[in-house]
Amino acid sequence: MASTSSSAAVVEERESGRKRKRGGATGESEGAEEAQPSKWRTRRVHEIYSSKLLDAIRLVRSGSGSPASAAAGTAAAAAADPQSSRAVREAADRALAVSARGRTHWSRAILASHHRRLQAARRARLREPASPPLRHPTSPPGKGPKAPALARKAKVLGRLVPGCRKLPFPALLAEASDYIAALEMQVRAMTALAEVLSTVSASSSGTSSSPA
Amino acid sequence: MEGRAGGGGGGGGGDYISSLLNSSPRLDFGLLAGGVPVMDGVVAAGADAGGDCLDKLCGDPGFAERAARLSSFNGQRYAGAAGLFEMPPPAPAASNGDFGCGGVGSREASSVSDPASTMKDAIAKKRKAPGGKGKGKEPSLSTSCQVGEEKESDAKRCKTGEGEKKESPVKPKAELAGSDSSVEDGVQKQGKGKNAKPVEPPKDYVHVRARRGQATDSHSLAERVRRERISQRMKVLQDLVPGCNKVIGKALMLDEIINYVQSLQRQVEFLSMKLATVNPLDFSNLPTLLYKDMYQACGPSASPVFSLESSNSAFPFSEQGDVFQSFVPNTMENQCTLNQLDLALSQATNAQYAFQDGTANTNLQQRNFWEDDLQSVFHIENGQSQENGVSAPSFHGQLQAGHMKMEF
Repeated sequence: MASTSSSAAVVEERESGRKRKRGGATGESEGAEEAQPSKWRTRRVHEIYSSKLLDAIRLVRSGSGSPASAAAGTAAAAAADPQSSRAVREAADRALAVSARGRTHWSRAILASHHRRLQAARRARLREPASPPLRHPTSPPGKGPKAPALARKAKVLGRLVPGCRKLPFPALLAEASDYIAALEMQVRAMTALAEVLSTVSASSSGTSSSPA
Repeated sequence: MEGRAGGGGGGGGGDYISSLLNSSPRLDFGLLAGGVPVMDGVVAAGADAGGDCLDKLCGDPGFAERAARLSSFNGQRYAGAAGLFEMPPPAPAASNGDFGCGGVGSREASSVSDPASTMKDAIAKKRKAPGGKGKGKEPSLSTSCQVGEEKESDAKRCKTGEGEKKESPVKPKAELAGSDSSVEDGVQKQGKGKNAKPVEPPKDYVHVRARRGQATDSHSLAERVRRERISQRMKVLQDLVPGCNKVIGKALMLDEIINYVQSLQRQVEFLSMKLATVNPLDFSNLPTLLYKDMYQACGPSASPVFSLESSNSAFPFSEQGDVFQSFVPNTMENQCTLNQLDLALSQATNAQYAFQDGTANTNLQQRNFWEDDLQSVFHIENGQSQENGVSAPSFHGQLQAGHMKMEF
């Protein structure tokens, strides 16, 4: 495992080096008015994101832990519900969006949607409980003949990338490239975090048998 | 100027040519700056450059004749060699009378083309020969210009104004062949600053170099710009998405991209679920857990973490120094529980970013600032691998620096 991880690390390093070089070149050509996908490969942004992620997860954990503290005897009870995993994912996405420094559409959309949800929840709490969250109306069903394949796919991509439904095609491509780079970094950071936590928890379970 | 040109024309071939050449060096300044269409017959070059310009322009004595002859078959609207040099039509009647009519055009053009291109370069109005030159090869223009395109470019060069896209001058029938449009574009948009002397200040247009055989009305130009932008971005995406290299075509590539984004999002969901299921008690018990791990030398549970470190080498501390030192005292007190996790996390992170160890010395110095618990950690780690133990504080410090950067 050490060898594979080292080779993977070397490959990534090479990739990141190449990518940074290329990103630099394309950055000049694009006028540097928007973030380049290569910036998601730096070590620093990875670490910034990891620490944010950590804080976010701790918050989520503490947030979900207190109401469930009575029942949180076992790890499985508090942890296995989809609610908390969704909360973790949203926290992770938000941390990612914050790391993006707000220069991309998707990052702003993620933060805006979160903000909107918070406001709606706050207003709901103030006025009356159980007001359903807002959802914008979906597009009307019933299409005509199939639009050109590219336009269809562009729509699908626009729906996948948050906040990019109505972007023109070239902007959508740029957002998608940045989003993909950011997602890759997110996956790497979360994998590392999960690895560390799992080892720690494994060791803790191993040592908890023998009380110190 | 007219007088002089007229006088030159009246004086005969030699005088006429010299007058042409005399006025030509000022052409680029006048016409290029003003964008005056030559076809109006405006005399742009009024300078009495005299002999020096002649020398400057060309050492080819025969050049003048050929230039003048070229002017004749360019027709009246181009004012003769003005098509080449943006010169005023000096007594068209005289030139026509002197040098015959456009029938000789093709032959003359071929001979003229080379010196003409030299001339053009001398004027520092670099032009791209539209015929298969590609973009940005203007310096080679002088050596390898094509005949037909050269003629066209000469003809079109009277269009110096950048905005005058549509006013394609009437081409001399016999001479201009084929791709007028490309030449027109070449004239219109001199490329993005490709002139040796960027006399024409680029306006707010997007400068596009049209290639041979391509349409040049504004719509297709804009389309081309848009398409190039899109293809640029698709290339970036292609490098990003693995497995996109084999696919060609926008639709298939979009499919791949969509699949990749979906798979990444699924991965994130899965990982978030995994993180959510991690024992919540870990966060509070973390320091003790880590201590136990570290103190148990080479514990089997600890080995996965250490194997990660052993696989990597320390990375250089770029902006570490003072930030790190100022930060350490704070972090030590406030985030004790987080320190060890950060440490382990950064080690895991390091597995993915294998940097070369260039700052072992600085790390050693910084180790002095660490408290005892972490030093014990490092000792244990040193038992595993020397360099990684040294690099551990650096990782931690960098993570703390990351914290600080977060909070601005």
